[in-house]
Amino acid sequence: MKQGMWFRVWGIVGMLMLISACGTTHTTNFSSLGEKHSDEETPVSDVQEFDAAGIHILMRQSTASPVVTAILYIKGGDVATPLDEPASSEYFTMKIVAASGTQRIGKDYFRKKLYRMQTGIGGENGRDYSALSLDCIRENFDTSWAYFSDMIRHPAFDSVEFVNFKKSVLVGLSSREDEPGAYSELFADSIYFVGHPYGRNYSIADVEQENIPLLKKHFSEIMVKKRFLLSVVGNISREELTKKIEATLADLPDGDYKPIAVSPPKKAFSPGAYFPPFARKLPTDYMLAYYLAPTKGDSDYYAYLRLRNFFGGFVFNHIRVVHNLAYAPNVDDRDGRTAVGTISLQTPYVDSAVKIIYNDVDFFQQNLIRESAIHEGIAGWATRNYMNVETTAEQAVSLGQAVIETGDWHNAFFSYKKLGEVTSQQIVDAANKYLRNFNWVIVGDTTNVDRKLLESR
Amino acid sequence: MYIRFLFSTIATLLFYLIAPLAATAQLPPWTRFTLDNGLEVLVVENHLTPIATIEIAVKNGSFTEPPEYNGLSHLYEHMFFTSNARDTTEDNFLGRVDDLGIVYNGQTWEEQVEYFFTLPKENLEDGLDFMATAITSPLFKPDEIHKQKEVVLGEFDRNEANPFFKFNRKVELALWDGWISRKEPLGERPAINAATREKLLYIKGKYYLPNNALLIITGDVNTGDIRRLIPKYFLRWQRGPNPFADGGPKRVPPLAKPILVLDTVDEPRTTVEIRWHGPSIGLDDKGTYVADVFSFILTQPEHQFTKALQESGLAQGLNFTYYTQRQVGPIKADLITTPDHLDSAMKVFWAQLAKFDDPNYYSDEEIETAKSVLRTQTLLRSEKLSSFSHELAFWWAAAGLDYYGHYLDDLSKVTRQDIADYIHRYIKNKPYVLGIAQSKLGHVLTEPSLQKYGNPNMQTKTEVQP
Repeated sequence: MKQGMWFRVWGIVGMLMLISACGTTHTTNFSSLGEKHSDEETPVSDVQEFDAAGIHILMRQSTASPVVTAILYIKGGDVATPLDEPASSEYFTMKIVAASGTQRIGKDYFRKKLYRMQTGIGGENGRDYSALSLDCIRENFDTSWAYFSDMIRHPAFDSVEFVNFKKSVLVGLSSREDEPGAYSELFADSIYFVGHPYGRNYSIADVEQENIPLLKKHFSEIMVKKRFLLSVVGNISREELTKKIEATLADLPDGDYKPIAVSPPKKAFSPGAYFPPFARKLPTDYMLAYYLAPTKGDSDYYAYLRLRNFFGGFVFNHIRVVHNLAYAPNVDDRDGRTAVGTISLQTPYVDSAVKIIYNDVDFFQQNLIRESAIHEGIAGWATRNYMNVETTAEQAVSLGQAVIETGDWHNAFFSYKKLGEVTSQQIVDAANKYLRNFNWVIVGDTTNVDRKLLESR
Repeated sequence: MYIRFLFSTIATLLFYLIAPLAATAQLPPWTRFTLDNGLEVLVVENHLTPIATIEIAVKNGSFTEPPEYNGLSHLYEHMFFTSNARDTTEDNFLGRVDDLGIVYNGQTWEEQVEYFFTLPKENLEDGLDFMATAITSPLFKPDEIHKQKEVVLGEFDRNEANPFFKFNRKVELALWDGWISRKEPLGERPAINAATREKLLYIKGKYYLPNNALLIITGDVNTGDIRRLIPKYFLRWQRGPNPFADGGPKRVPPLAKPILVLDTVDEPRTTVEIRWHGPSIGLDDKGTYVADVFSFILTQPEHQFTKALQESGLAQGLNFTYYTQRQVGPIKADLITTPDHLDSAMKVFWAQLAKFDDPNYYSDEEIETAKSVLRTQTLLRSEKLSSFSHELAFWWAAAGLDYYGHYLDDLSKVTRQDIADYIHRYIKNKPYVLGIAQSKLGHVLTEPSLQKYGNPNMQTKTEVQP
């Protein structure tokens, strides 16, 4: 055996965690223009979009891959959880359903068979959607689908799994304010999204309310076809997939679903600085800024991506390399129906770091970047992006995410052409539009921090 | 209960119904051909993503390194990514990487060195030209050698910072004794420091030959185009004498007796490493895939080996593996436990080992599950083509592509007798190395000895490695 085993089962769970937009940032960058794309603009034209038994399907058939991935997206996510239910309902429901087996197939047998087939079945929640996923090799697809669809229709809600999971979540919650990095993100979320659908974070009180009857009720409410989007990639034909869906999921209720409107939060339009108290004395300050970023469907998304790449490079170079103020300053985004740009670093020299960052902001708002510099390195960027969608699981994740967030699967695939068309003026425009109204959270010693400076952009 | 039983029966039936199909599923098809200069070429087409990977593997690596060369295959790998006859500075090289959109890297292993470019499919021909130039004409400029020595030594520093580095090295030293340089791709500081241009040129002349290399192209490519393009760029690479015509480096001799290795680490848990010399490709090919099946029996969540050690709480981490190699593949058992559980964990471990050849130690279903899991994991690793090329390179060097091509079929043929033969030949009552890394924070082991922690069925006088 070659050394360094690859555990695929964990791979897809990890990927779904990345896409679930529940507080995890990531840097995957895809093509994003909201208008209709021609096939010339994306490298992929063989995705089929159709309905089967009242369920909306996205499907890409690949005869070359030995793997089939099916992800059942359930639109709504955390933001659609009714206010009279605990905020953690979606999280608990997805986890317990995926871990429990089915009413017909006991948990132990279910797990044993999945292990033998090396089939991965998982559940993840997210702000705007949740997902139940299936990942298996083609020869095991029939059996795996039988297990997966039975879990969707008749989940067992195993009481042992529930108790253990609840305990582990409570332990995690009680310690989440101990780690300054996680705490600054938690605090920034609560401030930036106050009064916004994304602002409802679950608490210990929410988790303590959870019980199996509540989860069953929540599951029956969300498992309606109007909420579903099934994204399938692998060696399966439209006919075969349609038959499977008709045979197994057709009798689920159609239900009703109207998406909750999600617009940018109020805080995205005014700067702010917040210094939450922290239980321990820290050797450095944890700095985190949120600002409004475009979503994948916005027309200036590519210009912003190029800007973020330049801006992030400048911030890293000036703060780490030139001034040695922080080890790993980072500029990143968090996708969603409204997106957030983030700047994060740890340094005891808050004011000095902020001055450098704002000088970099000024630079991009006031100067045109050389056109040749804009085009350097774009090909490598394209390669890295395509390397992130090489597998059926990665493609099924990206396709579904693109449709839910932008309404168009073409946005799942990076457009080299679109990135190459970004102009200097578009980058300046994006800098003036997005690099502003920074909402800072500083955790640590803020005695001498200049609040006015932080709030000056 | 009735419904559950019925469904289980259906599921079981389904499994057996699909079993014949399972035997037909295979690795992705590849096209294989050889150029007149001896360069083997492998092409795997898959059009799911518009990128291609170009990889060259060379039979070099630590197995070719005597002590004075230990680490130089790795240094050579770094030098590949600097100047060559066309891109005469490292900056030029990196500029070309940028222009072609290449994501690149290299890996040095015991029995092969790999170089790989992944790039947009439109740039494939330029990428082939670039790879051919880089592999055939490195300049080995003294200033670049100096710089890369620092980089390689930095890599050594980072590895050394791992709290288990020293312990692992001591275990490896005990296992391979005077042959250690042949098993340590990272090498040794003095040899890396003493590297010269002449030594790198010697490596190039002896090992960097088309007839000692494999070129792999995977991804969104057309095999017909590849057949046309490859000779254009790679025929200029000149064949040389087979570096292993004399049979190659001698194999490591068998361990003479059990050895205990003790160390302390700055870590709260106690780590135990048990090692045996396992089968070698070329000497016992069958033993290598039987070893894989047996490892996958032991590590099943429901098997008694896992239950007795891990589910019981004695071990927090547990693994049992075999690493396929031409030059003696190691069999490795690893336990992570706590200082207070060490005694019990070792007793249970050796008690389990005593049962390895008991016909009731594993069921027929567990054998079939092991084969099924191995097959599936092998297939899953073939999906991501930018890394499948590394898998192909590994198997080509360690075992040959024919072995890998038949691997899934051969797994299915493994019998109980094959497993028993493997256990008797390599594990049961065979000399081993037992390494124990005690926690600096835990209590000190009293009377550490093989009598206390070693295999009770193989009582021997303790020899503790310094």
